[in-house]
Amino acid sequence: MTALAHPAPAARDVLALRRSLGAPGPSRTAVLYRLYVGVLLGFVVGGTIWETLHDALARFGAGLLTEAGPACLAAGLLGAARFGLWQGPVAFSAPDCSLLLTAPLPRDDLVRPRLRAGLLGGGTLGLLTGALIAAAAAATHRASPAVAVCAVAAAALLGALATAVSWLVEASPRVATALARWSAALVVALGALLAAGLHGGGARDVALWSGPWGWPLVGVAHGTTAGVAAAALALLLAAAAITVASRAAGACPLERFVQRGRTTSSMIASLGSYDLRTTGVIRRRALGAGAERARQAPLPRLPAWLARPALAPARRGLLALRSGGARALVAAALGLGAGAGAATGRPAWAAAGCLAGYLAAAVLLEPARTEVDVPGRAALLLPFALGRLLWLHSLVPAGCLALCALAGACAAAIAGAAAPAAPLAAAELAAPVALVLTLCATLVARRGGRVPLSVIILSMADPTGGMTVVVWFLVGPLAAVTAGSVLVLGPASASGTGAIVAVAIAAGAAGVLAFSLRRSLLRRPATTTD
Amino acid sequence: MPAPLAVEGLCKRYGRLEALAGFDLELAPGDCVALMGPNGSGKTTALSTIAGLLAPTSGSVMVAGHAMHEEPAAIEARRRLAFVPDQPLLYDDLTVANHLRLVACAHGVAQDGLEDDIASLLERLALAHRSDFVPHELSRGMRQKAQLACALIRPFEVLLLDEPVAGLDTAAVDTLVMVLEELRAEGAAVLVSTHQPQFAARVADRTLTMHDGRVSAPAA
Repeated sequence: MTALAHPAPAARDVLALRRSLGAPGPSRTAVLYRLYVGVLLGFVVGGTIWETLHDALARFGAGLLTEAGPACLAAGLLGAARFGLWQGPVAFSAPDCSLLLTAPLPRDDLVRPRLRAGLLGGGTLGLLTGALIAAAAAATHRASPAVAVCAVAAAALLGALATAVSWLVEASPRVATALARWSAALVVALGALLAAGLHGGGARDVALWSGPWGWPLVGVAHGTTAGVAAAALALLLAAAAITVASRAAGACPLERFVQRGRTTSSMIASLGSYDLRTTGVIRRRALGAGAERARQAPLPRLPAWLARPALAPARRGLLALRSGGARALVAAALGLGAGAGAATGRPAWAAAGCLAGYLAAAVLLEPARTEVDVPGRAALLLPFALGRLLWLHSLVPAGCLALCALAGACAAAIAGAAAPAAPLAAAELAAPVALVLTLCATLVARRGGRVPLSVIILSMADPTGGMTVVVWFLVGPLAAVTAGSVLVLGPASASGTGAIVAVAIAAGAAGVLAFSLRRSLLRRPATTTD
Repeated sequence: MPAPLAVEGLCKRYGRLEALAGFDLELAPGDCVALMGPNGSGKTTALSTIAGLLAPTSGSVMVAGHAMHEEPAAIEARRRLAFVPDQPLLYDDLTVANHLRLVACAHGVAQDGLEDDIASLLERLALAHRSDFVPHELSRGMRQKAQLACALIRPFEVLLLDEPVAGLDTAAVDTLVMVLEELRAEGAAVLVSTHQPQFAARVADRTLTMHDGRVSAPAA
């Protein structure tokens, strides 16, 4: 107990012992199989991305790469930085935190190997992005091999830079606070960057040279000499960032690793059971995001005549509206709804508006999801049955989205849409109501959005079972978007009978919800086994 | 000579919640203090903050004169402090014996006689027959004993135990009491949190009762 004289060994020796004591790695066959799957997936995913990019360039012109590229790469950099707010490139498991990080070893010696691995991973991802840029540039006959090399190098360095930034956010509470505070402003700056790029001319050059997000594309726009200069700048900046990140290796408080270790294990567990909702909740909790803060905030005060128990669910809906994500989605639904109304007859606008509406409804129905998660809680704490509770929860989302749709109808009327104003307004109002009610019914039927055990077992038993899970997740959005598009487009292009059909579909959605509630065990919370 | 453990004005806040509000404690060699209190009173937060797993909002923790939350001084503090958390945190792929080998290596324990030390420690904790088992093959109580063994295989001056008897059978509790008595006789300072007054009475010479993050009732 008292023999404290022995010096601790070097961290690398301890890590080497950890590796040698642990379970042997996978067999050669298993490694080859993983490699095969990885290459196959790479071809499928890479091919899809390449096809999409190629089609976009063919449709919108070769200039798109240098016009929208800087904003896209800057968005990636911001995403990497925000990743550091709740996870970051360096992670330790709970046993690592308990047994290794509490040992008398220099902490930076334990952190650096993982940081190096993260930098390598970020650099590889950047390299692949750069290869994609180079291939796209070559396909549009605008790039020499030297330009391609510059683009790949600058993109790889951008990947490493993004990892270094992510680590600095993870390691420093001060940097993390600043990023959280300025994220909204940075998103606005991204919009400005995109606008500058699309404006062309001098503004596009400013966007290209404004930071490391534009440097991989400088050569594509201005040739080899400029590309080499941009790659050199990227090298200098990445080297500086990596040096700073490496110096900060020992600065991260152990508490952050402990929190992130818990987040990692919880996320892996929830992803393993395809529970995306819980995964999102874990991420938001780790992030301390606005949505969580909004849920912890006191319920909004209401006048006495409105402060009745029956309106308690609606008040929770209003509370959900306080989160930044919900506001952004509602704003998107509003804008796209208006666009869909104004540009009647254009399916893309209508589909985009309905998708935004679906996502907004999904966020606004979060209080209803929590009721479905633990049905017994509502039975104990609130004076009405769960079925009525879900109806009440649908009020705020339906009202909110109906206002968005009404804006769309007004825009259509002002723009002189082909359809008569009254049927169009009825159809636009019916769409979000049907959307929300369908979502409510889906919540009940799917127990809040958790993949049932039968589907999980099927996905593991069948080699193509993964698709079953994907389809399980996609059915709701696809049905909502398709039905919504039909609802909006039908009456706009035809006559008043379309509006009658739309209202009938909304009534049908209400019937589906009622049927789901009657059939579901959730109707009798005391007997459920969840 | 500085005290093995000196805690001064330790505070820990989680947003609005003040989990620890001005925690002071000083342990002399051979001292054993029990922390008691209801759930959520701050016992685990106090121990985790002292052990360096949580960063304090304010206050200081000195282990034999070395600041626990300031690198690189914390290296010396970590060398002198051992912590047994309330939940066993063990590697899925390491056997009990390999856990002890790894911890011993990380703390610079001499390799000469290490295997004998591991064998005798596991024998004492009634884990010898499970030394080649990985954690998921062990019961909750055995995992707790394995975590305890990880703390005892290495040298220390201060031992922190968070709910050490949760999940242990009577014989294991008796063994733990004997081990703690021996450690104290050798000069180790012990801080233990527990919900069991009988266990506290057996091992501790002082009991502190915590409530809402504060020591509300120091008792002899």
